[in-house]
Amino acid sequence: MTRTERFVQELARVGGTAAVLAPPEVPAHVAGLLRERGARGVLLAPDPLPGEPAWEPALREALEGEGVTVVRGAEDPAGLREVPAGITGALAGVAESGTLLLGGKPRGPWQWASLLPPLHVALVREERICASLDEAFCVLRESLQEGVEEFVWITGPSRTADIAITLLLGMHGPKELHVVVVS
Amino acid sequence: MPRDLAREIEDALQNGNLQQALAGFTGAVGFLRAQAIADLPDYEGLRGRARRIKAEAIENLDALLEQLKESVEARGGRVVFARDGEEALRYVRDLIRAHGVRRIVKSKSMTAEEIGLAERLEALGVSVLETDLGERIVQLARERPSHLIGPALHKTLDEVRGVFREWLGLEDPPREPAELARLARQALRDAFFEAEMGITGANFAVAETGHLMLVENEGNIRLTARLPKVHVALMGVEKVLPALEDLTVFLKLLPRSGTGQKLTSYVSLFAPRPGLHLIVLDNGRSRLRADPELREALYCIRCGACLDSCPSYQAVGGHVFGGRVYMGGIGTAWTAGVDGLEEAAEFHGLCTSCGRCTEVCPVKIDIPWLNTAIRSRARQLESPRHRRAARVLGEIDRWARWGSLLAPLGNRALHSGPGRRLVARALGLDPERTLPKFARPTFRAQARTRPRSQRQRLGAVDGVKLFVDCFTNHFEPGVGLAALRVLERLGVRVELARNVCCGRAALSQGLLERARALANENARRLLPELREGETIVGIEPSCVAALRSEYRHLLPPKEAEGLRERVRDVMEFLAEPEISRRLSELLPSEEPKKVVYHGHCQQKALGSHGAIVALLRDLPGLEVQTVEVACCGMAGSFGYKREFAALSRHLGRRLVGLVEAQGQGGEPVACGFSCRSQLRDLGGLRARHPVQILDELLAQSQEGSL
Ligand code: SF4
Ligand code: SF4
Repeated sequence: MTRTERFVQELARVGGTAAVLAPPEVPAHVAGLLRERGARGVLLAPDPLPGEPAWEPALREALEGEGVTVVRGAEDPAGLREVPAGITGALAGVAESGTLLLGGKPRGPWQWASLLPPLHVALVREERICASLDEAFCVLRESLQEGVEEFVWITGPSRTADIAITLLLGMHGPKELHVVVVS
Repeated sequence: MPRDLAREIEDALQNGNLQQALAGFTGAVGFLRAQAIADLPDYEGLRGRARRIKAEAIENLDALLEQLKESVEARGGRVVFARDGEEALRYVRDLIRAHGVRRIVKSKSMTAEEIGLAERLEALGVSVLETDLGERIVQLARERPSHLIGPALHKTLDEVRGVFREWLGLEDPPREPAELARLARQALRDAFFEAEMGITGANFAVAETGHLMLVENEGNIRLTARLPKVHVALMGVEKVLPALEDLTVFLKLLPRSGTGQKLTSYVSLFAPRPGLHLIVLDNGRSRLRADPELREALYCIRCGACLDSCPSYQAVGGHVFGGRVYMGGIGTAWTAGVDGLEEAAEFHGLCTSCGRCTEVCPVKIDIPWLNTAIRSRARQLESPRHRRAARVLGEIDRWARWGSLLAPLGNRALHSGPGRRLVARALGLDPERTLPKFARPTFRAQARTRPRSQRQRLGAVDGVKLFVDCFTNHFEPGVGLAALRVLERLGVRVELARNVCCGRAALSQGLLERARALANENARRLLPELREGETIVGIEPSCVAALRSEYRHLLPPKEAEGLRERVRDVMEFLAEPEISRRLSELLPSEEPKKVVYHGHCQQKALGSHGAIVALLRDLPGLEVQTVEVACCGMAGSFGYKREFAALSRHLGRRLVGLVEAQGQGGEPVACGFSCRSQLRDLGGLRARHPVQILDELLAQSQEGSL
């Protein structure tokens, strides 16, 4: 099994979904996801594919072409209360547990986009999928040295078992986590 | 007012909802944990590292805390050290005033619970909204959390609906858990946006960079820490770690141990920022740190695994087996540190020293030992009558000698109605229980005077010193004789060890000094006599466990290690390759005998259980069923005590039920004297030690071959 296959499998185990796509297919795929859910707006965190600055305008264009309002995060999250979807990049993926590593400035758009809306779409480059947590931790250390301040490891959607020990998704954070692995 | 523990236990056992919730939760998490851990390469190595990291951090605590302060403040945050809840509260109060805070959101934190932060802030007139769903349910029900990870696990769906009725003013709250969760999400989401301050705990703080690591599934911690401008993080001093990389070890162990997840949904590494106020709380932790016996309680990462695996906790939950805030076996030490010995003295008795918790603790805290230490201190607080009773029960070796000497007479006196009641009253025992009967002559005497022909010497190979425990010696010599014969038939040279009582009874009464004296005496008598390659073999698993585990705390390291290396359980010894091969050759293979085996909790804790079961399964002449139950519930004198009678019966009946249901008519066998007593007293089942069965089979096959 390749790393990507393992990643997709583990992610499914924790209730996330994934698609492995070539770069040109990504904007239409993401636009389609939003359309299916009737999401008219999206919070697009800057730099959705770390290291590929040209990507952001392409994605924005595709989404706007679908009639989706694209907002970029502001310092004040008050306006983001009802936003139905969020798109972020990811610094790394961990195949053995289906985990993503996200990072940025404290209270940055990456945090809000991956936390506030019911749908979180994350893009990760295939070569950033590490076999193990230890490997991904090296990425974390490097990112810190490059100025990324704060991090979150995300493994599946938000969940709770606090009501009568029943597993429920989407407690406080996203109910749906969709990862696009960009090959 | 002192607690009425017997009453609380009774109530908990009769609370059907609680029983169902506890069984469901601890069972499910136990299963998931085992899976998640099986998946982890080098689990044992990781545990060792985790413990080392914590131990070193606690050792260098002051320097690490200083470094943490510098790191956080260099990036705009603030760090304050609070000696107690009062100081922490004062700081938060000033913050509230300075920032004009009226609404606070908070995420579950045992440390906040410890200093009653939420209630005390509410008393100032600010609203403090708990946002962890389980904790919120408990808060609205005006209860305390009953588990470190699942605070509301004791509440049924209907009870939760009742809570929602009051909270959201709904007449008929939905019956669907998913609908309830959706309503809670909505209600709390507004609060997150409105609050001016968020209060969280912290699982770890990194001295090197100032990051705070918080582990969660819901997302409320991220919201609490990030949406409001002001973030107050409250953590105990013990949470600091030196470097970022140290986190990986805990990242692998904490979720797996806590919920059986590889990772929880969210593990945040929050960076220090302006608006962060990190309150580092002592509140008794320095006292624990300065206490060599209790210090390791500070290594606890609050995963809750020890609760889920604890037979006492499984039966009565954290409200009964717990103090004001902290629960379970680890909770006694924390309660002693934070609330004082008196509070801990109320519930340490629920720990039977079975050791099931140490098997699963990711930082290998010796929880039974913490409880033994606390028990010994708590004795000082007790009435002279209680202390006297403890002395009698803890000096079983002394009075058992008299019991055996006076056997027929003493037994009649002890087992007659009036005699039994008198003894029961004097010692605080359960009058319904039959006390064990003294045997005469003792095992030692019988072994010495066995007819010559029984002492076979089949080309002696490995030498064994048979440790003569008090249970075998005074109550069940038959087990000892069977062990002797089996070993000798295998060609093992056996001598009786010149040991004294192992000290188990004294330990379970908290008579530490007596236990230490016995341990030293045993080391003095046993170690110099041991020949090269010789093993000390014990019959009673709880005594073997005393020699191998507790002696680490009672003897100098060299002596403790010397004994630890050489002591084996008799069944474990029989499972060694060379011995078990010989045993297999001698056993008859036709018509296997059916037995149902209950493993002793301390064999499981020592790690010998697996090998013993494998041995029994592989031996010809036996067909073995096993029953999976954490503990028989007797644990030496525990089950005889009036206070714990109901709990002991509850656990024992479960064992009896399983043996009857799953045994398929096999003869019950168990290595522990206590386990066999439970099966006999509560199920009318005659259970024997497996070595007795082997003895019988060997005798048969020898007859057959003559
Ligand atoms: S030793 Fe046994 S009874 Fe005591 S806390 Fe651990 S699991 Fe519970
Ligand atoms: S004592 Fe060990 S098992 Fe129990 S909560 Fe603490 S770390 Fe977990």
